[in-house]
Amino acid sequence: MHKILIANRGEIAVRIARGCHVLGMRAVAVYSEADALARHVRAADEAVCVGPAESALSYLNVPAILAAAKKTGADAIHPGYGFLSENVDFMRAVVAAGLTWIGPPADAIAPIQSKTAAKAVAQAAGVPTAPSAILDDLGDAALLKAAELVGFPLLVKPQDGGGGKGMQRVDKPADLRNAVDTARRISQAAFGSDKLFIERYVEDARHVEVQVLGDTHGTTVHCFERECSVQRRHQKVIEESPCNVLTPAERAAICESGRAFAAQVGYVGAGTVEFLFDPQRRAHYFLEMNTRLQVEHPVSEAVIGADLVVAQLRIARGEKLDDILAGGVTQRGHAIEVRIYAEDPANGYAPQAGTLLRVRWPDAPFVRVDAGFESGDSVPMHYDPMLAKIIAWGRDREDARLRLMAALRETVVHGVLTNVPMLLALLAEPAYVASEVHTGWLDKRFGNEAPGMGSAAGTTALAALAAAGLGGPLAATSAQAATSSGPSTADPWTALAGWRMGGAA
Amino acid sequence: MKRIFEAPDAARLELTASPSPGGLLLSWTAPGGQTSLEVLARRAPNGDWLLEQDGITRPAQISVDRQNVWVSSLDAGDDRSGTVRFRRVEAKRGAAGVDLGVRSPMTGRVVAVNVQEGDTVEKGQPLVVVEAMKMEHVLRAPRAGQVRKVACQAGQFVEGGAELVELLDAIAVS
Repeated sequence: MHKILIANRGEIAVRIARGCHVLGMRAVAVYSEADALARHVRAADEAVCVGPAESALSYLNVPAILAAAKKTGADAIHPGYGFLSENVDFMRAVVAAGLTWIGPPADAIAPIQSKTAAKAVAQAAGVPTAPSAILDDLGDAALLKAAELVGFPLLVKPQDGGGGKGMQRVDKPADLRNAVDTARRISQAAFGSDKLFIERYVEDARHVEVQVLGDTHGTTVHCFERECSVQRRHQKVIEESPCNVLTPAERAAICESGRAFAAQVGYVGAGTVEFLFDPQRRAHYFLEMNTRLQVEHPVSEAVIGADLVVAQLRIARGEKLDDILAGGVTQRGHAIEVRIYAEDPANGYAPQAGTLLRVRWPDAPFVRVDAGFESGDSVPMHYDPMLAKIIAWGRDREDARLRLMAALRETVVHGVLTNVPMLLALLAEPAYVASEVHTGWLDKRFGNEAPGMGSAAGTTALAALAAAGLGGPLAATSAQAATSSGPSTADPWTALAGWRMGGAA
Repeated sequence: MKRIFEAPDAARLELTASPSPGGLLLSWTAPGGQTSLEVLARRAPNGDWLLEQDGITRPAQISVDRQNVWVSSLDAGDDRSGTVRFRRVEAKRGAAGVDLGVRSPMTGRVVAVNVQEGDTVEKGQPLVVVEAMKMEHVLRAPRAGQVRKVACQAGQFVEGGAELVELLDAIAVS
């Protein structure tokens, strides 16, 4: 493996190119017409256009991506996350084209693509799953018996559904009949099937996931856990490692569950096994496996001191985990990551597109920035509006939290609105500081509110505004401005671009 | 010379500046009252600003586009972002009051227009609903006022930043 094609864009494409360079490999970027000048193109050794702006015609265009690999002589493809990363057909096409796929073999992940199948694999591997039962008999007695087996509170779910549609929460036996009838009705209308199952509802669940690595020699290891309980409508907002509410025994159990699941499917490469942790019962339940490098992988890298992209590349070229992770894997300190989005949290989180007039990412001890954009870059409207990830490491959680907040205060993004004010407010929330959060916390605590947005401006900001908006052009044409009492004919704002100020007028 | 801006907390700011021996005499009227400062503004070679007041210099970054001034400084507070977007509020010639343009936050399709020209609206009242990336975004009145113009209709595709509704400030109306 000498040249790797990266079938992605943005920060992750930049990050993968850096991993390639560590091993002396060349990196090939692909780009859409909207991304011709993008940061990830500038981070690669070579780049090939794979189609127009629309993802379906470019970043998801399998023939064009394979043609780009052939044209550049790339011998492997790294998919990053999103786009084609978990597409089994693409994996098979890559291998059929004689290229190395940097990820798990299609045969390993095909059996766990559906949630019910993955659950069966988990059970076979001895990995705990939330108690559940298929509702065959809908008679009152049978329902009650199934429900008592699963335990309250529980969720009634359509077997063939998705997206939470038809899902009913039931807290006590008396409400069971109504919930089942409602779920059947909705499921029949939405999915054309009234088959249901019930599953235990985990109250105040925490999202804990285990990073795993598997090599081509049959070794599977875990790289400890991450916690991502601060979520907005199931989207992770703050990610960290370790999960500081686990006891050492609980941590060992959950990490071993993750490893066992990956081993069961013959996993190769980097993957993540997700669990719900029930803080009352002190138990963890298998959720699903993400068969790719994840957005939040840097928090694991920070606490274990290993480069997961480099590990992926070395695994793909046949090296053993014993060599890649020589000396074993240990956790040290604490790391927290936030994702910087071009969005307007105060306006329904509307994605923002436009030119980044000025960007300054933080640069401080123990702070890492994985960015897909620099000053002057355009944020196209066609893709996920994530600009960067900022990760802070500290000796303990509080040290990491303070470093991350200082880094965010230092962050400058002009030209599009970002969620930085909201992230700062969340990191300062007493419940977050005390680590008393669960997957529903953010939505429950703030609803549609956007904490931290719309705060009043400080004096220096106002002085700067006054100086920029008024002082500059006035200073440049002070004689005219000083004598002019009415509105100036020349728009001072247009003059500002070319204005250089040396001090007093 | 006076300019009007809208701060992120929807506060309206009126700024004036004039040359003075110490640099610039800046003053602004905000809901909290009037502030006047004499500031010497210098620009570092990398584009940063250094604002000196009473012998104390504070750094800031400033960017300007057609509708906004973006300012970053470090004095916002421990849990606050130092970056602030000030929206320029245009005082159009011949208008009785101050126009507030309500703009589409992104490129998308207008799915509903809830107001007509001449309507009086309360702060927060839904004006237009725009859909993009399968999500609906309700554009609300930034403050009480009167609808001067509706510049879009349901079904229309609009660019991000396009002015969809013009509001006349309630202060000017009353």
